[in-house]
Order: sequence, then structure tokens, then C-alpha cells
Amino acid sequence: MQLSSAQMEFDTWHDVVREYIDRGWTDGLPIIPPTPDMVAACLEAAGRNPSEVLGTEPTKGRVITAEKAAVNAVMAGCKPEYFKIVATAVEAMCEPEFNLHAVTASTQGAAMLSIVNGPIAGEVGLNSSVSVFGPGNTANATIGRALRLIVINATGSVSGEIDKATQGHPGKYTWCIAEAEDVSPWGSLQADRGFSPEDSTVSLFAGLSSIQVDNHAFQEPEEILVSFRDAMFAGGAGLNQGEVVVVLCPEHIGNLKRAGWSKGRVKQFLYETAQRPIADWRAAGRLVPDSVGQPEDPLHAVESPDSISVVVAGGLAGAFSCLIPLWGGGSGSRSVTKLIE
Amino acid sequence: MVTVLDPTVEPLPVDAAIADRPGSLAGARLGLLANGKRNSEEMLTAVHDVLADRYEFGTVVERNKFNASRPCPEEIIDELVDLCDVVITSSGD
Repeated sequence: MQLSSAQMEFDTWHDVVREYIDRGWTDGLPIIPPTPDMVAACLEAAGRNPSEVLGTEPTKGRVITAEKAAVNAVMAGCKPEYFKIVATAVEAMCEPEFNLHAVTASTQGAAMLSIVNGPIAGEVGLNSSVSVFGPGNTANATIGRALRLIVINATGSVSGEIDKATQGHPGKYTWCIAEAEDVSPWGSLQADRGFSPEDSTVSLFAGLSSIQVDNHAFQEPEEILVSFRDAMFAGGAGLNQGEVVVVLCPEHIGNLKRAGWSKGRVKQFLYETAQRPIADWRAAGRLVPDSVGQPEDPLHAVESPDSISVVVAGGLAGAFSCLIPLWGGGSGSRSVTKLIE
Repeated sequence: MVTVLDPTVEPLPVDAAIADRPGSLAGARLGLLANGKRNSEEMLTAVHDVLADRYEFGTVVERNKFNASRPCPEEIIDELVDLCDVVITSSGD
């Protein structure tokens, strides 16, 4: 396979790791040295040509080829079979509506959350269960990390340089999960986005730090979901958000299922209850222009029920879910779902 | 010996040059471009007022791109190029 990236030679793997860290080509952690054979294996596994353009970073105009994405995927520790997911996620991040430059430069400090659906998640061993956002699974850890390394090396969004995040959050190292489709009583995320359950997809969200939603006290849907309502008040821009992600744990979803609630009803309930007067938003430190309404007028946390993406993930034990607000009030960047072919 | 590949992508070269600087602001056609963040227009107004104490501008054109996270729309750029000798931008917050 003909590769075009500049080649460098070192005496040992250790020398490669040291040099790549010193050049600012990593996330601060050691990397796997990207040898031509390993890069070629990724490209072959995904059926991608090295020169194939996965996307162009819309603001800076940097072209991301399959080869450059594969070099970074190897560095992140990806196995070749993961690269199909990485390459498709790069295509998603370069869609104009994702607003990649702003997402990876802004003081608000978003990360890129990948949610994988369909057969490929099981084929590559992605975790959707216990410690779903935690360490220990190579696919979750390295696919998410590959996207961050691509942002650093292919778009130049380096912390302290283009990336001016005030705090950022740990999801900027890596943030990739599969949805627990086997646990969900509802259609999964890819079905919500118009794909078939047999399709494999990756959905990319510009996620801010997640908010844990802990409700062990109740079993009835209305009593459980009140905790999600409160999280919606706290997250991100707080009011009138274009998109948020709710990640329901199996215990919470079990109670919703037992009560016969649909996903649509959950979203409608959250939309309707997550509202409060403009005066209360202001008292909570939110900026609400006078043009929006009178102080006593109600204002919702999200624009509509469909602003809420609901997915299922996590271990069977524990009533711990989470809410993930998105960058730019949930409307500055729109999530993108792509078919993995 | 280990052979490895460069992971970086260089920016595409852009064929552009810095515009000529005006010798004086006296009589200049001034553009004020706000980036859409809160207080960006107020900032520009304050800068304009300070400059206006020293210079008499030919015209003043005020525009707001209304989205701080995306590049300025081409039509606003083109308009400012046509109508202005000098443009001041601001980033409020």
C-alpha cells in the first residue's frame, strides 16, 4: 500500500514515544508508534484508500485523509477493525453542522462523544454496560482517543493554542460508548435517526461534562424523571437548549418500561416539566435578554421534546444515569449520525 | 530501527496579503464589525467614540455577524470591502 506521510526513523519504540510527546503530537500520554504496516492494516480493514478524503475541517480548511486518520488511530492504540468506526466518525466531525473548529477551540471546553449503534458494536467488543464511561475496554478507550489525536494533529487544535478551553473535561481524552440495545425496550439511537436496527452507525455529539442523575428513591416515572428535570436546569446553557443527551441506566429504564412509558413520553414529560419563569433562570445566573419575555413568563430548558436524545447504557446495578448537555447551547453544534459501511 | 509516520496535517497555503494601511484615519470610511457576542456592539461603539474625538470619519458602517463561532459570512466581508477603508472588529462577552 502506497502511503504518503513523511517517514521518520528511530532506534527504539521508546525513542518514538518520547519524540512524539515532545513534539506535542499526543494527548500527553504515550502512544503506539505508527509504523507503515500498522497504518496499512487499519486502512485495509476498513476498505479505505490512503488518499481518500474523509473530510475537510470547515473553518481552517485542513484536509483529513484516511491515511492521516489511520496514523492517529494506530497511535491511539486502535486495533485495525476499529478503524471503520474512526473513519466514519471523522466524516461526521467534518460536517458543517458539527462546527468542529468552534467545538474544539471554545472556552466552553466540549469533548466529542461517540455513540455506536448496530452490529459493529458487538463485533469490535465495544462496552455498553458496567462502567460504560470508565476505563478497561480497549475499543471504547482507543476509538475515542483516536478522534482526539486527529483533532490535535490534523486540525491543530492543541490545548493552550487553538484549544482555549477554560477547564475542559476528562472526556477530551476519550469518550466513546455503545448503546445497550439489548437492554432498551425502545428503538435505539440509530432508529431515531432514520436508520435500520441492522445498520451500524456512529453518532457524534459535542458534549460538555456530564451530570450524574442519581435517583434511588422512587420507582414511578414522574418521580424518577424529576431528577433529570433538575439536571436539565443545571447543565450547559440551561435554557432553550437545542440538544441534550440523556443516558438512562438499566435500573431507571426498567422502571419506565414497567410503567409502560415510551421514549416519546419520556421526552415530552421532560420538555414540559423542565421549565421555570425567566426570573428564576436569571436568579440562577443565566443570561436571558429582555426581548425573550417578561420575568414571570415560563422558559423551557430545551427547545422541544425532540431536542432530547435518549439512549440506554450502563451496568444493571445502580440507579445512576446521566445528562450530557451539548456545546453552544445545544444549537451551536448539531449532532451528526453516519452509517458505517 | 523503527520507521514511523508523521501524524500531522499542514494548513493549506492561502493566497492572501495584508491590506495596505491607511496613512490617516481622517475622512476614512469606517466599518464596525461585531462578532455577535454580548457587549460586542457596545465595545465597538466605545472604540468609535474615542476615535471620533480625534478623527472625522467619512462614513461609518455597522454590521454584526451574529454568530461568534462561525466565520463572517462572505456577503458581509464583500460589503465591508466595498464600503470601507478601515474595519474594526470586536469580541464581546
